[in-house]
Amino acid sequence: VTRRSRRALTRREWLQTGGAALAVAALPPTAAGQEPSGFVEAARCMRPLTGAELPPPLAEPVAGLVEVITQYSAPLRKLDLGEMEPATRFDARSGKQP
Amino acid sequence: MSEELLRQSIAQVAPLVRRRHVSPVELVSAALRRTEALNPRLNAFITVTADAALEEARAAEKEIARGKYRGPLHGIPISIKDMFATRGVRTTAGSKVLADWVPDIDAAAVCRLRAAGAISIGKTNMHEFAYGVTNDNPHYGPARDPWDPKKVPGGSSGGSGVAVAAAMGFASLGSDTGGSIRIPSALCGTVGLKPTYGRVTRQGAIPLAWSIDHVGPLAKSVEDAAIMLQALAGAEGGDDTAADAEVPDYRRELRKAISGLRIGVPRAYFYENVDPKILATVEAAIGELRRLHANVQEVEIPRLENCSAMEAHITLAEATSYHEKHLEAGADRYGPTVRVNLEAGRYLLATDYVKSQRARTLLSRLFADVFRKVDVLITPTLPAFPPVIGDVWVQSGGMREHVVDAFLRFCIPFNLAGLPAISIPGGIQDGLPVGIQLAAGAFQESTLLRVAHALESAIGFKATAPVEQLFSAPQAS
Repeated sequence: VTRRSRRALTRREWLQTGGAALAVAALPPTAAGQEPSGFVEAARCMRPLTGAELPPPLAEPVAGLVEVITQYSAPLRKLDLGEMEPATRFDARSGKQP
Repeated sequence: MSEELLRQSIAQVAPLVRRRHVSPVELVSAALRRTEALNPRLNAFITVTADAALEEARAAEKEIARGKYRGPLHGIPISIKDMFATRGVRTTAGSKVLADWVPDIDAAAVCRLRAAGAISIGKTNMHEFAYGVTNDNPHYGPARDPWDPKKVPGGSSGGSGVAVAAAMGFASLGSDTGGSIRIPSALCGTVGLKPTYGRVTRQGAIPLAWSIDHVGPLAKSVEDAAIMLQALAGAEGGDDTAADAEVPDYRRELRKAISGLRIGVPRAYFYENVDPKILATVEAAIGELRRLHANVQEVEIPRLENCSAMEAHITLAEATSYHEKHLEAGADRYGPTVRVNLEAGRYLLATDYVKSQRARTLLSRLFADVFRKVDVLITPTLPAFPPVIGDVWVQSGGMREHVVDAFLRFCIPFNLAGLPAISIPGGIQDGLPVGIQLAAGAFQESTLLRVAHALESAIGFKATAPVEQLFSAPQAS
């Protein structure tokens, strides 16, 4: 699965492909025919931030899923919400999320 | 006689129980016999609690004999999705992570159903941690569509949909984060109600995504869904998300006519890329509403195209947050697709999560505008028929689509907006049920159920799946 093909996939399509990627992850990279994406490298670099190790077989499908979600979030990021606040509510009297 | 009773609705059987023409022991025994016969083929249950159910049935029989009849759920066998804590009964959430967890309390919704006299016969199969729409469970095996056991029954409350459709009990308690009550209801030919966010307590339900999780019933009829909601709805001490809003008499509201009610048809988004046979079923239902003198009109709801991204950021972030401790303790115990989702939740931006929550405010306002113009919306529940178990692609009209994208598409807007939505069977196409979704404004369950009941009566669908052939069929592997 190349970066080019990932751009055309939806999040769930990538999950499905990611399942296949999990299966081929045990193969040598040349046999799998994959090149690491920028998101794979980013995930590795984020270990000091997340505090969690991303096992190698999971790196490609996880990074791919994040990449796809990020891509289709572009219209959401551009959405002008003005002063609109989050839908979640916090009750300062009880300190609880009602 | 008892097997025939299982094909009836709660509304039909309850008067027989109240008058002591039928015993709860008879009903529970029949449901257990049917479950024993069908579950090896359909895999609707992870745990069957036969002994406890019979003990409760005997107690209910004595209580009713003493004149202490609690109401229409008294002595009625039901099932509970395995994500609700049940005292003394293993609660797995469909995962190996919780394979040995035996809670010492009941979830609040379970308490309410028990208080109303309902008797649980067991815990139903589900997609692992409710994180999926097919109920293809890697740990406990897939639940199977009772209309075609080669196919998925939908999820995540798949076992509940199967149990109700195959008459292994009269109703089931489910949960819905992106459609998980309505999806299996549509595919299994049952009624599935996702109430308003806050209408039913979530206390004691294992969360998928707190801010969009909803609890509600799957049932054989709209009236039975109303009976279940009556028991479930209301404020709950200790659960601040359970709204302190008045709980109407939902069953009484069903009797009102729908003449003059305004029914909105949102053609854009909800009627795009849909299987033509599903569309035809929904159009026929719209025709029935017109015949009932409802005021049908087209409406527009903008900005729905962002729902998928909003759902992704909210679900992944909240689910990963909840599962952090389990991931640390033993991430390998998760199935592969749930594991990938949970790991991915660590790498999304907090700003995208907050933007999604802000966009929910916008979505709520847009829906509020729509529900000033109409009382109820009508849409297909799903755009496609179910895939064979193991396959993840469906044909949504002219578009080949991943099953998760397809099945969430029409359901998720109502989770994000927190609005009540119901799926009812609209008919059969090529041997499979087709679900029709109706939705209403916040806390307008009475109006929603009233329209659903009128439409159900007009359509005349009877919701027991043709499972008798399975009794003599080889056991599914």
